[in-house]
Amino acid sequence: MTVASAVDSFEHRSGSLEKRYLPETIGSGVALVDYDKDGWLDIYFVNSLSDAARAGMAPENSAALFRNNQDGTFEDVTRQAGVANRRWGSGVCAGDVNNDGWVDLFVSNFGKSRLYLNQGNGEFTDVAEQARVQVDAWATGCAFGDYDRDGLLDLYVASYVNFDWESPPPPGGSATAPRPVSPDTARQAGNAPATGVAFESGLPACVYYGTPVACGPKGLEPAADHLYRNEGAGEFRDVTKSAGLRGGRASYGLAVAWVDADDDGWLDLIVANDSMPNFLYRNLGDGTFEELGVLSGLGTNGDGLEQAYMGVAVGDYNHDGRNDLFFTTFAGDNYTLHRNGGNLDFTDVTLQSGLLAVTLPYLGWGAEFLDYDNDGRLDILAANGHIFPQADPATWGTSYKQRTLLLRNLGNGRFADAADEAGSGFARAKSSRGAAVGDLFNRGTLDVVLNNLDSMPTLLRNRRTMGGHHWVGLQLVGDPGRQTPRDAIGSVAYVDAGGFRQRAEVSSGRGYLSQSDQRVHFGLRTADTVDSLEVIWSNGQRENYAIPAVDRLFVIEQGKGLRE
Amino acid sequence: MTRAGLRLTAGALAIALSATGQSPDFAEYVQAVRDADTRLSRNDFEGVIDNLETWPEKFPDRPEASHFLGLAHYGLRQFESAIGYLAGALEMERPDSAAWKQTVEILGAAYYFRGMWREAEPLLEKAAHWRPDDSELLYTLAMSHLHLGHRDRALQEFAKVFRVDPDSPRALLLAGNLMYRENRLSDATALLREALKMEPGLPGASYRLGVIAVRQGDYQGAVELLGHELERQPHDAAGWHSLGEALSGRGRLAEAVEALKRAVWLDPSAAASYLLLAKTYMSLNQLGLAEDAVGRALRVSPQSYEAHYLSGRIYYKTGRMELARKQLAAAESLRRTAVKGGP
Repeated sequence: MTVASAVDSFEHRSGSLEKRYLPETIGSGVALVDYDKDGWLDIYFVNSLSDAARAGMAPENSAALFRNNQDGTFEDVTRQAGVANRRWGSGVCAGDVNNDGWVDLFVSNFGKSRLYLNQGNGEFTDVAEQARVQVDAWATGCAFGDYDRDGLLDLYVASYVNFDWESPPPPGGSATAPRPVSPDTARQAGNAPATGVAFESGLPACVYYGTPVACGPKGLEPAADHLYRNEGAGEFRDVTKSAGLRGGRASYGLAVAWVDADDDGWLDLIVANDSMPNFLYRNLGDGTFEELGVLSGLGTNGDGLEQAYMGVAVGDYNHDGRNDLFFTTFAGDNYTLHRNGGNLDFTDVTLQSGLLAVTLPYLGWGAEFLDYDNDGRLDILAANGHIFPQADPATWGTSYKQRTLLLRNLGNGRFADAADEAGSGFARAKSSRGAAVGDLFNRGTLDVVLNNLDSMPTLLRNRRTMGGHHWVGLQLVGDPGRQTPRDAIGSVAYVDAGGFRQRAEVSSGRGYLSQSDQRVHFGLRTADTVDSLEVIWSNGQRENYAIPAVDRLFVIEQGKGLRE
Repeated sequence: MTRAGLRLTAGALAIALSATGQSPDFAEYVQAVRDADTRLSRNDFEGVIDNLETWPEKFPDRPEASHFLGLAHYGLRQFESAIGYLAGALEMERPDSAAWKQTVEILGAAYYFRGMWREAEPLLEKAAHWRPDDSELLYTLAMSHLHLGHRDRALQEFAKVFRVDPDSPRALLLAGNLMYRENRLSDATALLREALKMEPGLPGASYRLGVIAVRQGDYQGAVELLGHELERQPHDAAGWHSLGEALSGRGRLAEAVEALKRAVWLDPSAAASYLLLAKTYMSLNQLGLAEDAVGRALRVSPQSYEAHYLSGRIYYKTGRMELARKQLAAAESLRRTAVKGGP
């Protein structure tokens, strides 16, 4: 329903259509936020720049904010809101950085990033410079989280590559004579995913299956990420090194998620790195972190091999009360599901979960857990699209545009492609990047918005008949006076209904460069009552609530109770 | 196709050049080409390039310098440059001359290694006429056919390479296996099914179809196919390994363990089977048995980074952090060495 909704007036642009250089390939994110507090989700699309705009020969391309008209349509309010960005945009994450009750946006750019402070009157002001979070690098994924539990949201910004537009590495490169590399050999060598990727090792990856392509990231200099501590009064401080985040060790960082991976009450940090092991930074509770990515099993796949990690989804798919993680990766390699066994021990269960073969042909970006059919089980969404347009004429067994995968949770630890019931919107191939999930129309069903490379976006309205399945939605409001951020990011809700316990939490960032609905949603299957609801606020306080009815959204204010 | 083969006709080409009665510049050119010929015989490819690089521009109507430059770049695996020079030489050389034939062969091979199958195929086909017994050439031609989806032509060439009757089930099995290797799973499946139709029970055919089913996520189908194979070939360690993989994929972990035990009993040197066994034990949370299986993998293959990785993960799971860090550092070091060394 993209056209009917009027969001088709936005068109993403990212350099040339030939995709000669890496920055042109990674696309941008999308955010679902209620910026005007009218109770309806609005949509913010990040944009990059066209070739002409980058060369200064055309106006810079604009991001777009669409206000929800509450009737299935949206209105472009970018200009009034002052969020056009008009820089080479990558990602977006939301958080109420000053606890004033209005959601703010961080937009990560190639160049100077922006922190759009919501003024509460429909307008935003970029305060990145004053707040000292401009980054000024190729910033990618971002996420707000209160890692030190002082009630103020801190910010982590990943960066990808130190890329010089003045002397970009040419496609194919001069020193990239390809060797014929069989998939098995490449895999054994550890320089390529499971099948098919025939990059020459030790050289900039500029040739793929014998075809000159955009170089990188391998062979290019990785960029350093940043952790910014919110000092209050509108200022942040870069604490990357003092927090022990690998001394700011550079990586090809793309996606970021604050997750309490060991349920000790302190937010840990996960960074999905392209072509490098993921980072899992354990929060030691004293303002410092310990990196445990490979040790914990989360850094690589179950064979100990790094993958080209793009997006990360977080959710308890198996109802054991712990957050599991799902990563999208490069084509020819499977996406990876890591089951959280507790004590920071993750197991690659991709094979057993049935996700190996079905994801193999795709190159994935946006990644989200969502219960699309309200059956109480978290399904998986993966937005896909190749980075090389050369995929179409070639015989690589894949294509440039790819369909978005909806993977249904079968409830026995396994997933299956739900293409046959996902609807026509999922069947259309695009080169998708950012993906966000949320209840756009307040119907109790989760919709999907995709930001597509060099194209108009996709809005997939969930029209599924829920077959008697119920739901409940929660908007958590924290109490900054108790050191919980106002928007309750990091707070966790547990719902018992229909004989099983579900977990969901208020989060920032995650997925791929995108922001999903910050309200939490529980599908309840046929249960028409909720047995119990427990909220663990991000300051550690536990509260229990009685949910009086299902199929509606409740607001829960910390220490004050629940209202419809 | 090999670098040694480059000398094959290069000498003849150089000797055929005569400086008699030509300009001093041309005499210098002839000398440079002869010198290149000598350098080529010593695999001094850089020397050839340094000496000849300026000559094609000075004598744009002469093929020799381009020919040698093409060979030198090919020798250095700089296929794109090789293609540029050899394509130029091909237009100037007399058809059916020794030089022309070598250009056809090497240019075809350069296209092949560049992944330009469409350009490679006709040249390699020509070369196969005058080198009908050159297995390397025939193999390259077959692979070009394969990549272009010319299944039957690939089958014919593979049959020649391996000296089997192209109409026999064994030829189909052979081609099916090679197509599987190149990830052309549907072509491979078609050939293997045809082979089984011609000879039900053909050893290896159900096994390969089972492996393909694993790759495609059809674990139940794989279990059945591999079961058929193992009924006839119970001594096939690779079959038991794949059955273990398929059973793991179905979540039938205890049965997977049984299959993998058989794989390592039949082939105690199969590190991959020990590793899969270890992973399966880990999934079953039987960490002692997993540690034992990894230990055996390490004895068989001490440089296996995967074995060191799994060993580290088991130490981590059992709280032996220092050992875990040590093993994972070893795994990382081995993996980096493998990447540096290249495939």
